Amino acid sequence: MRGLILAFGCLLGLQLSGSFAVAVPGNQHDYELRRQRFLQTVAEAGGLSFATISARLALGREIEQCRADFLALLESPRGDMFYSLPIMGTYLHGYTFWTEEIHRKAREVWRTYLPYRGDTENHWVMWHTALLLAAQTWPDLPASEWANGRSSQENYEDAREFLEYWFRTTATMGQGEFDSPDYMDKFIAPLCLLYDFAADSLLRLQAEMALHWLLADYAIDYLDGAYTGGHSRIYDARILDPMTDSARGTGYLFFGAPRFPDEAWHGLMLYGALSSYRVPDIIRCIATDRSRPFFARERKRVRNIIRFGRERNPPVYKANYMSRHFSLGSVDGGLQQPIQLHTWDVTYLLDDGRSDQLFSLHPYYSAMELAMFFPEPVKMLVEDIVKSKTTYSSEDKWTGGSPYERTFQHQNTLIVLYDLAPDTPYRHIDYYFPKTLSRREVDSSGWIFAQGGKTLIAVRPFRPGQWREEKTAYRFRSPYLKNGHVTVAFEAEAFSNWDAFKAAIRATRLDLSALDSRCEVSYITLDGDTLRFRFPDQRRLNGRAVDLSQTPLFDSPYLQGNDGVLRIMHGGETLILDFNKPEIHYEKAGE
Amino acid sequence: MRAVLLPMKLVLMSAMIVGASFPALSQPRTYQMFAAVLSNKSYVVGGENPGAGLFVSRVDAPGWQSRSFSNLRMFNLEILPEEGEGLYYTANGNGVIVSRDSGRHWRVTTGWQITEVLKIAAVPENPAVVYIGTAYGAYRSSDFGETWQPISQRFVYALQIDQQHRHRLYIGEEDGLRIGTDGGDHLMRAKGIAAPVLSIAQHPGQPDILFAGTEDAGLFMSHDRGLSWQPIESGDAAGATVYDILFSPHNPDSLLAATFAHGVLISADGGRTWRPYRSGLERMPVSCLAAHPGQPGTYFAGTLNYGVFCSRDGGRIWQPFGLNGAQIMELEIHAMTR
Repeated sequence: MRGLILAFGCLLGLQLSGSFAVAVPGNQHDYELRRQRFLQTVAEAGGLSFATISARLALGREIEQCRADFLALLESPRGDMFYSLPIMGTYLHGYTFWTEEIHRKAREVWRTYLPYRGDTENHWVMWHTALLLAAQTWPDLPASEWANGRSSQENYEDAREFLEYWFRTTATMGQGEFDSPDYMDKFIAPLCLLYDFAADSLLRLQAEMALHWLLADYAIDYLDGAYTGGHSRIYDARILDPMTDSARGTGYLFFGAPRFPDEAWHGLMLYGALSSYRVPDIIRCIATDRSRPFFARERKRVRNIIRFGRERNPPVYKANYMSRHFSLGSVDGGLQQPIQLHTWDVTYLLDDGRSDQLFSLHPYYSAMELAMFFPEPVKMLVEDIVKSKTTYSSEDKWTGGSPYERTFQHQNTLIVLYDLAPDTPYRHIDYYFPKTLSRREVDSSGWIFAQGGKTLIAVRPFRPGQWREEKTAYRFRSPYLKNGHVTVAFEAEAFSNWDAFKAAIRATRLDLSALDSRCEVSYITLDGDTLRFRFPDQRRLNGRAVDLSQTPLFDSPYLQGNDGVLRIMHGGETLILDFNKPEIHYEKAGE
Repeated sequence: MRAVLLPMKLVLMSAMIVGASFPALSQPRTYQMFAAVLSNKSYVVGGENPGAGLFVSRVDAPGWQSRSFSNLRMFNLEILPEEGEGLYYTANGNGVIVSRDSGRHWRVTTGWQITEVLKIAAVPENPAVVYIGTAYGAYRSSDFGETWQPISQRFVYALQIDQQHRHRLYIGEEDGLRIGTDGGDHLMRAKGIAAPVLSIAQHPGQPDILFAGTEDAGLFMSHDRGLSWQPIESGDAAGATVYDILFSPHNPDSLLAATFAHGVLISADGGRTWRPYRSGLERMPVSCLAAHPGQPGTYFAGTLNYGVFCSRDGGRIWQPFGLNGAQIMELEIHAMTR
């Protein structure tokens, strides 16, 4: 079997993306430069890690030390799926370097170490990928040779079945851990390993299609390195310093973000850099072509609700208006993810290649919310979660959804409504105005005008509040139960000057007369569209009800997708991913 | 799933009482305690969790030893030491993990579809038949957990096999309790209880009497084998969150209840009135209970984040018994067989 894997790995090393026209030579050259930068950065990182070992081996340096380091890691298994996946990645990528002792130790880990396979989507994808690759690497072993007491064949079949389920679910219902700057690499890395090392050609094809799918999903929300709009999961630290999210490494590698994200750790994405997978140029073009603004809608799903809910995976509706220097994006709101939901933001580019975001939230936490998603005793959940997500129960936190928050977005206009219950833990909403904004003016009209880079932003809070300066932002706190705001964003060039922008916005019409009685507002945009929004889910655009339930998985000029099929379109070309067959098609206009 | 083993415990007790007729049983017996540990206090996924999984100690003094993989998130267990070489069923985040040789070798018997297994109960007379309650519903197996048939599709808080009619189940759910007949092929809703049912216990001598512990709604009692329920309005019992209920193996009128905020509730009158006892357990959530079969008045309590405690005065005063910092989800005590 080792010989078989070796031969297969070499074969993959020579091939590029087998099923679709790959990057043009110039882009390929750029890609190789970025890949080298990636490898160099991870290779230079201190500490003992699988990724550093793999990066150094790929660069052909410190071979003996790499062997010693790998051996040390094999001798102290810990870390659950965050150990099991990289162990297989580094083992398979470095296969020809290993001594007999290392081969024996790697096998021994699977005989003696039974990790917790986790309780969420990224855990399960990593674990089952690792298990499949291990079972494939050491086939035909009896149950006694595996820590979980299952034979190679049983493990392989179980992992394969899960992955089949995950491909199907993602392509028909969307991801549960969707669009996460912190967790995307936890999906990209295992898929790259499957693409490189799965012996089953169908599985390799599915992994390739899933990579295309996820990267196209990323591309539509991508702005020069930033993962914009609503996210299922993001850590507070990423809000405070957006340059540290691991998705930026993915964007740099595959899309050619202008700035290498030195601040982030790229351990898992190292397996992307080592992979023979190449993103189709059409997806890279979608990620980087911001020559004209576009509006995108998407449907995702809520992570598994295990109790206190009517539906296992209710839909999540996303909207994102993408422009050259900013995006305004949102999910429709509510308890769509425990702990780390990021409901909306304006992401704007700065002149130095960084980006930042402006947003609001209601800081909510509850044992009941956690109990919807986690099985442990209800009364222990907040305490348990705060061990790792330390800000979860804080009134000052900057991540998390709320049952009392809903959005209505049309193009570059967003209304957010809050209808807080009197007994909610914190009876205020907070706005995050980053210090990277070059302007922030509180206008007597009630509007707050701001500029970040070449982006003009206007926020109209429905209620007054107080400002507080913090390290990275100005916090605007508004303590009212019925609350909300209108936020609009524009390219600076859309107005002749700052005063013209302010004057135009002041002239728009906002009706708050029904805010107290029905938690309802209406707003007429600069373009003359009328948005009427009543909490929680009555949305009307120019008098007509907006039915979000009709939203397909993807709906934008570049992505059209539903029911297992995604059409990726740019420049007269179309790449079609059909998970129902499964197969990849390529169409060119006129052919 | 300790409650299912009550009949076995009573058999043991009876055997001890009549021990003179059975020379093998008349010798002093030693016991060991099994603990299902969900987690240690500081664990997060991806970190180290050395204090979790199955732990075993003799009951005369704490001396806990791991008997399984260390980093499992174990929610529940069912130990059948007399079966074969010692049959251990465990319910874990990873699924059902079974040992048929007293913990020397283990096998995950569930596939990817069955995850977050929270409760497990086997039929003592036919231990190949085993039921589980998961975050996604209840299942039944007739082949030691190798294959599973779904019974329900809702989160299972509690699971109890009727001690006489082994095809009858009591399933605690978020809005009350359902009774399964024919091994769960048919389900019916019990009346009079609408809160999440976290624990169920059946009277060892009068099987028509059952108790149920709930989340925030206290204790309930049934006199018709679970068909209808009445709340127990007794001081701290009302409104309590009750994770476990235990009949004394020596006096079925004496009951203990493990609670989130009231320490251990004790009843001396068959469950009609209850009093809280917290001495030694102040501010600790108590998750599970076990009785020493050979020493009346000796009880053990598992806590969430504080390990195991022991009382030798009928549950009034508690002292630490090891596994400090652990979330204990279940305790079982069995005579040592080998």
